[in-house]
Parts: sequence; structure tokens; C-alpha cells
Amino acid sequence: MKKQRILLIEDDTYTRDAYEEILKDSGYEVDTAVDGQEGILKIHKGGYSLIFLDVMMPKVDGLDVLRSLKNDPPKTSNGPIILLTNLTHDPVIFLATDLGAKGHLVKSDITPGELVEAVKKYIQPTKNDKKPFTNQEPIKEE
Amino acid sequence: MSLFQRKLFITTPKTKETIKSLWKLEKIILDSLDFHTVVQKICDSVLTELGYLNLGYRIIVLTLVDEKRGVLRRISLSQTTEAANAQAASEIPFHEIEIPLNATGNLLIKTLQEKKPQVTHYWPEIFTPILTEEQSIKNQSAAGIKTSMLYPVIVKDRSIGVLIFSMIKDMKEVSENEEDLIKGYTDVVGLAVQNSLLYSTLEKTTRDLAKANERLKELDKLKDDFVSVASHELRTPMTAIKSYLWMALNKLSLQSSSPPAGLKLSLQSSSSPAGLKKQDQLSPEDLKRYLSRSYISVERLINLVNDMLNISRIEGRRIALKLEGTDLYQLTSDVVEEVIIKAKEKDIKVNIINKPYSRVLCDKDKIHEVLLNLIGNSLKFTKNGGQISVGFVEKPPYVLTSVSDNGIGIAPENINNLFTKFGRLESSYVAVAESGGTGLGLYICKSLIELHKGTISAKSSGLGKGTTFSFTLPSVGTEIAQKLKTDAPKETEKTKDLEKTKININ
Repeated sequence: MKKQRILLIEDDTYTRDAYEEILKDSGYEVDTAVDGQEGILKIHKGGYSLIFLDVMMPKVDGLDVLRSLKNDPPKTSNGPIILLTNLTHDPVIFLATDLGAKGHLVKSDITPGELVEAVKKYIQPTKNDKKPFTNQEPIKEE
Repeated sequence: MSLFQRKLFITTPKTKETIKSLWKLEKIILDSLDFHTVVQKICDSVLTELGYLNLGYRIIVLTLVDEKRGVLRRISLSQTTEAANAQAASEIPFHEIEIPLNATGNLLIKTLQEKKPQVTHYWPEIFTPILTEEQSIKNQSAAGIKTSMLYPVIVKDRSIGVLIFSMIKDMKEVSENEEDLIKGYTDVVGLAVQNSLLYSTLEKTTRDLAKANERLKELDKLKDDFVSVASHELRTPMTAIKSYLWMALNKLSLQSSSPPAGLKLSLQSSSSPAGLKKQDQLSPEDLKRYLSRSYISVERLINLVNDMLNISRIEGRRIALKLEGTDLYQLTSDVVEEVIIKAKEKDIKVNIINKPYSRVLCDKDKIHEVLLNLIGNSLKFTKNGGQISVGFVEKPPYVLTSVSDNGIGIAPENINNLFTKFGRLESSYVAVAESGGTGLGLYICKSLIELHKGTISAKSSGLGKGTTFSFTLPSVGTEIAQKLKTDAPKETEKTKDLEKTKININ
């Protein structure tokens, strides 16, 4: 079976490396971008089952990535875009949802394990079961 | 008569006619609150409203005590031809005629001090020592005034000024009724002046308060924004620490198959420890990488907290400057000594080019921090085998220190961002994560240099073409150094030292 591809757009080296490693270990193919500009280019190539998008980044921030995609949608389709940020209770989250982000995870709240579980939730079985993605809270466990 | 009026008039008016006139004047004057309107009405209304022009009255002048400057100031005068003539003849403009309160020979001051009305036919008595006798006589004849009556303006037993009634008639032509009215009128004037002064002060205070409130709101917003950005910045290293430690623990627990209590770790809990997949094994190299990245991130967190504390102290003026004449060459040598091992590791040469001619006035510890930050930055952003040089140029009244490198340089569009809070550049992101940088260092440098009345700037011919940072400090013995001594925040119970931010150069 072909591996699902995930795009991780994140400017902080350590965070990006950690998430890339855990996602690869969990059996996904991972592509990364270090800022919004590189992110847009990769999104346009398409073929990702899921895209994690940071918000505060140099050059082009997460919101501008979403705006750019709205104005100029990629020809090859991708899976949902999930905000992966350390902003909490920020108006940016609502703006991003309006601009098409399908979910929101707070990096400092989750463990890498929870990130993997969120991936499983967001990547829907490709066959019959094509529910629309909704804004869901990150999976939490007590 | 109402209670209010009875209280108002110190001397009781004698006739009904006078009472009616006073009542009229009082209404006119007390009607407005603006100081300038009130004092003008005081000088005009007796002449125009009561027709005292027909009785030979020509100029009415209000003078008030200015306690701060110790003078009796001319405040307003009636708008009559005679007043205009007197003004035109005068060598000194009306408002600049200020009689010192200690000029006891002046009849106005005497009136003020004795709180008793005076009369003069001879203007030198009320203009000296500001105008000469000759000038005073010239003014009097230009205005055609025969007699001036001086009345103290009294509020709560205190004389606050003198009202001058100048006439083209003799004192003996002044009727009892006129005198009566003028006495009563002076009492009203006292009250009116006091009211309007209070009102004007209140208005100014209100305006000042509104302005201060606006400023506070702005500062509050800035603080909020900073807290919001700062908390985001704090979460970044926290995320890295949490993630790497989790990965180390998770792999350990997969190997030992007993996760520590309270921590949900395992991803593939079904897989048995014996059949561990390759990616779930924890190699010593992995462990070392996880832990060292956690360690560096912790250092980055500590640096962030220190820098934020420093910024809060600098902005709140809770950093005192211990100023002394300083040899910049010596100070720079100390800093270079501190980083020389790191520099050698990267095979970077650090030169101090020349010695400054004059000593500068500064707080050694603070400028040490600035130099360490700038040289540290150069080390961070210069490739192995590069070069850093520090030089000094006399720019009276300052000495300019510059730190130049042949490192990665800065794109022109990014120069302006350098000195802002968290204003780090995209090209520096990798270096930031690995060096524990905070994005606040240059902002702190700028704040410290500005606290010393100097300036800081950066220059680069572009990416790959190296960078030069320069800052100025006042030379010892200059005027600006003197001003620095006066203005610099002094040590108090509330002042603290800077937290030391450690610099990592990888």
C-alpha cells in the first residue's frame, strides 16, 4: 500500500524535526517546508493527505498561506489543512477557520503521540466513507 | 439681599442704585468661566455697561500676583482709545510690564500689601522701576489721564491683585456713589478671578488627564501585545522540550514495556517488546540527540525569561547606570577574551583594530553586555574561517564603536526589523533554535545604548556580504556626558542588575 503523504509547514527547526521524526516512525511519508512561501509551492504540487500549517512564520505566515490558496487554489487536490500553532485563544484561529483550515492543534498542549492520533482522525479512509471534515478539538486524554 | 450676596460684599453698598448696578455687573462677569473672557469683561463692563465713560473713567487695568515669578503682572485692560494710546506710547508692551513684589516703592505693591485703596496723579508711582520716570510721564500724557485709583483685589483676606481705575478727572470729582460701587465691584472681581482660575486649572487638569489616560491605554496595549507574543515565544522551546522528552520516554517504555504512571506513551501498544520495530528502538545516538536538544531548548527558555525581565527593567527604568570613565579598548578586550575559545573552535579571527583616543562615560557592565551580544552575533552568523573586527572612531562628542564581520550579511529590507522585539530575521531562524537565541538581544542592546544617550545602527551590503553594527557613547567631559549624568536612572531600592543571558555559538 502506498504511504500517505503529510506536509509539515513549520519554521522552528527543533519542532519540525521532532514532528517529522515521529510521523515517519508512525509510517507516514513526510515532506517539510520552513516557511509559508515554501509551503505554498509544495501545496501547489499537491498529493498530500494532510497538511499541518504553523501560523507565526517568517516571509509568509500561515494566514497568508490560506489566503493565497483561496485566491489561487492548487490544481492537484490535497487533504485538509490543520493549524499547528502555539497561539491559543487568538482571533487568528477563527480567521484561519474562515479561510478554510479544518482544525486547530496547540503544539505545547499535545505530545507527539497525540499528534499521530490526530493524523489518524483527520486522514479519512479513502474509500466509501467521505465525510466532510469538521472543526474538531484535538484528541485529549486524561 | 440674598445670603450669597451678603457674603460676597465685604463692604456693604449704600444705595439701592449701587446694589442694582453691582448685581448687573456681577451677572455679566460671573456668567463666563473662561479666564480670558472673564478678565476682559472685568475691564470693560464698568465702562460700557454702567456708562462710566460718561463719568470720566477711561482705562481699567487688572493686575494679578504671579507668586511663582514674584511679580505683579498686567493681565487685561479696557478696550478704549485712551488705553490704546497709552499702549502705543509705552516702550514696553502692556503684558510685559511686571512689577517685582519686593518693589515696595511702587504704589501698586503698596496697595497690595496694605490692602487699602490708593490714589495717584503721577504714573511713575505705578510704573517704576519697570519704566523710567520719563517714560511713565510720557505714557500718562499720551493717554490723557489725570487720576488713577488703585483697589486691592481681595479673596479670603488675601490680596491677589490690584484693579486700576484711570480717569480724566480729579479725585474730588469722584462721587460717594461711584466710590461705593467701585469698592463693591472690586469684591466681585476677586470672586470672578478666583472662579475662572479654578475653572481654567480644572480644564487643563482634565485635558492633561485625558492625554495621560490615552498614553496609558497605548502602553497597556503594547504590554498586552508583548505578553501575547512572548507567551508564544516561550511555548516554542517548551514544545521542543516536551516533544523530545516524550520521544525518549516513549521509546524507553516500549523497550521496557512498563510506561511510567500518569503518562500515556505507547503508540503501538499492541506490539510486544520482543518484536520491536527498528523505528521504535532507542539508540544511544537518538537519546543523546533528544536530550541535547531538550537541554538547548531549556537554555533558550531561560534566556527568554532573562531577556524579558531585562526589557521590563529597562523600560520601567529599574536598571540603574553606574557611570564611570571607561576605556573601550580594555572593555572590548575583556569581551573578546570571553569568546575567544568559541572563536577558535570556528577558526574565526577576532581583531581589535585601534584604540579610541578618548574615554567614554558609561556603565561598564551594560556596555559589556552590548559588546558581548554584538560580537556573539557576529560569531553566530559568520562561517568558519571568517573574520570579525572591532574599531573605534572619534565622533565628537561621541566615540563610535563598530563590530564588523564577513558573515552571512543582512538583506536591505530586513535592516529595520533588527532592533525590534522578536525582530529576528528569517535567515537566522536555524541559528536561533540551535544557539538558544531569543530574538530580543538587539532590542536590549538598542535600549541600553539609548539609555546612555547614544545610538546604534546596522549596515550590510546585502546577503553574504557581512554586517557592521555601530554604536555611539558620549566622551568623558562633554556636555552630552554631563546630561547623561543628570538623566541616567540612579540606583534605588527598586533598581536591579541585568540578568545575564548566556550566548551559545554553534
